[in-house]
Amino acid sequence: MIVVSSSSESQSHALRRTLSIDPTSRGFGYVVLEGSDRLIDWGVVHIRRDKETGCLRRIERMIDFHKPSLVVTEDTTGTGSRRCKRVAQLIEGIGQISRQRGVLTTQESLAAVRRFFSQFGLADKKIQCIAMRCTVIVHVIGSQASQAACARLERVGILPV
Amino acid sequence: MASRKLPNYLRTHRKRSYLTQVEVAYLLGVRNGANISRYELHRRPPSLETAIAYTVVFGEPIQELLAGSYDEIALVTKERARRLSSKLRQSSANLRDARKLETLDRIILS
Repeated sequence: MIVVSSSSESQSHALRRTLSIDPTSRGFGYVVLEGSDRLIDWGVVHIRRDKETGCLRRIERMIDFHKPSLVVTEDTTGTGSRRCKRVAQLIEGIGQISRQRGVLTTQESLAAVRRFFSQFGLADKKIQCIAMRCTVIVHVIGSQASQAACARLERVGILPV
Repeated sequence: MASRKLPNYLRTHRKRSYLTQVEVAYLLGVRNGANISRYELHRRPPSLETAIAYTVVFGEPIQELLAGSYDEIALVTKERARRLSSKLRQSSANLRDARKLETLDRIILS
């Protein structure tokens, strides 16, 4: 279930950082959000050899650097998810790394993310898949702030206009 | 994990301006992009000259670009001011000490 926090709750966690990771066939995409609507880091990482170990090592470094309070990944058992076994294992590995560092983790199904983004007119399947990388927004921002965040993501090229 | 500010937000501002590390290195007058990576990952602090150049390039104050480092240094400085203030209060008070205490109080309360 998608939890959208109220604006007052977002303000009380002004410096709460959230890291959202979305594995891809070549590596992973990520988004780091600080507070309710401040995008501080984003990108797509490609790993050439030994993808699993390489990805986990990079994610480990990312968690150590950004020190997030929440790590968000896709719920591979949820409705609409067609992730392969390798990605499911990778997501499990991300969960383990986060737990070792005392970071909260949560998972969202692709269907839930699609439902959330469809209210902003992002109905196209491709756009929604890209929006999966921004799952983090679903967790930490209220609906009004989400629109502003989507516009910002469009500007930086994470979400196509 | 703790939710303090990051040591710096140099990478955030560089990405927002669509500049590469090599381009920022050129603008700052730094030898190569590897140094920019070191600054961004907080492996090496930028020199005063580089820090000023960063504020010019991104148009943001140093408190914003090097937020975590700024807070850390501010905290240590305030602690020093507190110690000096309590030391001055113990000694005999004159006009000069009163002015010093005013300055120290401003530092502590800022």
